[in-house]
Amino acid sequence: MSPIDVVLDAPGRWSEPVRATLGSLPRSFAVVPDAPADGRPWVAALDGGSGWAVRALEIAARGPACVVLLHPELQDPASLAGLLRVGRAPFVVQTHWSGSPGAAALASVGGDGRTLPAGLRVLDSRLVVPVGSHLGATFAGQLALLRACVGPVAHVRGVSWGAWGYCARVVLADGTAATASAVISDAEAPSARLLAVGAAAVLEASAPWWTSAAPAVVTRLDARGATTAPEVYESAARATWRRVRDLVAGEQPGDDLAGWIDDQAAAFAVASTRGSVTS
Amino acid sequence: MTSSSTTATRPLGVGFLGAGPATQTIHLPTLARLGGLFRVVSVMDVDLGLAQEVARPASAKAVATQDELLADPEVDCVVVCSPNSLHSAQVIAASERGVKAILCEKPFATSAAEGRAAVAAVTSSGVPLVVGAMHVFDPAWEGVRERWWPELGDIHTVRSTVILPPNAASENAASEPVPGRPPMAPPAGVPDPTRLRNSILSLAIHDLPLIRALAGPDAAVTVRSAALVAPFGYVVDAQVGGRSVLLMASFSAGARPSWTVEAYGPASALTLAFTPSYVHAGSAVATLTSRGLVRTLPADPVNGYEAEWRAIADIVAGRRPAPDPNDLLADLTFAIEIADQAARFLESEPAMTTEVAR
Repeated sequence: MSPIDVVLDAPGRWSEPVRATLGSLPRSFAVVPDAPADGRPWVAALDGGSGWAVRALEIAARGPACVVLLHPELQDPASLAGLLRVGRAPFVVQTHWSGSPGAAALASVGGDGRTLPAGLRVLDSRLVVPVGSHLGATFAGQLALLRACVGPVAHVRGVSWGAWGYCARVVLADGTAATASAVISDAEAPSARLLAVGAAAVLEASAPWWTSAAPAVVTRLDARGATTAPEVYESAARATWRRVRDLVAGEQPGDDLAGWIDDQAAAFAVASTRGSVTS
Repeated sequence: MTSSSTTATRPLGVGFLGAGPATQTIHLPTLARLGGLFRVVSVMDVDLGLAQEVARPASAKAVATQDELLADPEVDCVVVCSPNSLHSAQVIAASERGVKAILCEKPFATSAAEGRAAVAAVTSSGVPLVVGAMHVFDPAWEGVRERWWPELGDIHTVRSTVILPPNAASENAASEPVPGRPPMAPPAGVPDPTRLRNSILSLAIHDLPLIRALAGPDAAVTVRSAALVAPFGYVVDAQVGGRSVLLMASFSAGARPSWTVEAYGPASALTLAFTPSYVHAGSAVATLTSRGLVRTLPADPVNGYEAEWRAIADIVAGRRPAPDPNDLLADLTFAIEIADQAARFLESEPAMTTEVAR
């Protein structure tokens, strides 16, 4: 199989990270300047910077097999509604965390077919993000991570928000209460942690920043001891692009856009009341 | 280590007010490691049979009233391990008796008014009061205060996270408690806000003096949300002087004991990983990440329980100053303020109770 052509939306801030990631998938993808004229499937990599929704409509109209939306900034949800109405290629949204192989590994250690331990008492998601991180986008990315790991967040019950980060009380679609927080600090490497405490089992997970191939660590503890998921040395970015490959090949369905729009709408609603929508 | 380990003076006589789990599984096993410094002479409990069972292995007297214990001339140090509601009155009684030191389990009072009365009593009598918040005495925390404090910089976030197996497992690992104690779960009918308040004043209070020190000793407290985690635990989001404080605790039969205090600033991060309650597994491990360097204070073989008893020996011997009673009062009122605000929040938002799904 020949590599799938990837067209970068604009030579911008994500060009180098995309090329670096695709450099580890040389038989799957090739970055090209223009979409192929011979009808072969191609992928558009769309910079999620300001105004991405408008460009997304333009790019979707050019007929890519998939659009990879790179780290989208928060948009007014009203500006995104049109994207869901048009016929278009599937979107894969790349965020800082949600593509982590660890997200898929969570269910593998459950042992009972469930991701979260029975009799859940505490569900806590924590991020450490670099100084300068945009809080609204960070929150949206965390909601996307929760969606990937344990299910979508139905509503946000309250948020503490400040220069230090935020701490939110959220409720998943199945009614599960959780805390979702982020701390802004350059003291240690960015990371995402998930803690789920059940009556008789505890699930612990941690994942590195999206560009790192350091493995996510997923461990379930119960009366029999600890079960650790296989540690996959693959970055969230690369895992996301492998998903794109499988999606284009028809081996895996999927479209992240509707879920992302819900997540970012929740984050937008929080951030817009705290003056943190724009970078 | 302190110099108390080399003292040649006669062991201090210790009398316990209350023969429950804290006496049996925390203090008596700790004192057994410090035989040259202390000698258990009397155990008081309103259940005289329990007092006798607990006193027997230590070859101590068993009594059924506080007055009997306080009248015993062999008692140099009084340990208050009774129900919380009795603490302040017993601290006052022991200070009026003029003992050499009082160790009171936390909290030493259940209201600010009670706390002020107890502090007034120990201040006027000059009797040293030590509050049994073992993390305050943990060698790792003392190491952080001595070595790293200036480097912590501008802390903006503090988190205490406690995930433990049920207490019974830890108690049985620390001792062989007299069977028949009530289960950890509170009796039915206790309102959720009261349970939440009790959870904070029983468990979070171990870390609240540290958090107060990290977040600013005189900072105002605002609890922004609070949830009770059944059967015993909490999630509390608070602001302390502009700093974010998140307190979280839960118990699980599957838990790997984990008890951490984390503090973050823009360029520094401190983690204190404490060993679990009851057992003598050494001190916390403290890790400071700052300016690209990761430094660790390795675990000391002495944990907070042993360190607090060694501190008492040093205080009585004049080798170490007693804790400032006003600082103890400030720690207490800080904890009560968080517990009260959390309880009020839960009254206003009862749905935040997370019941166990079975």
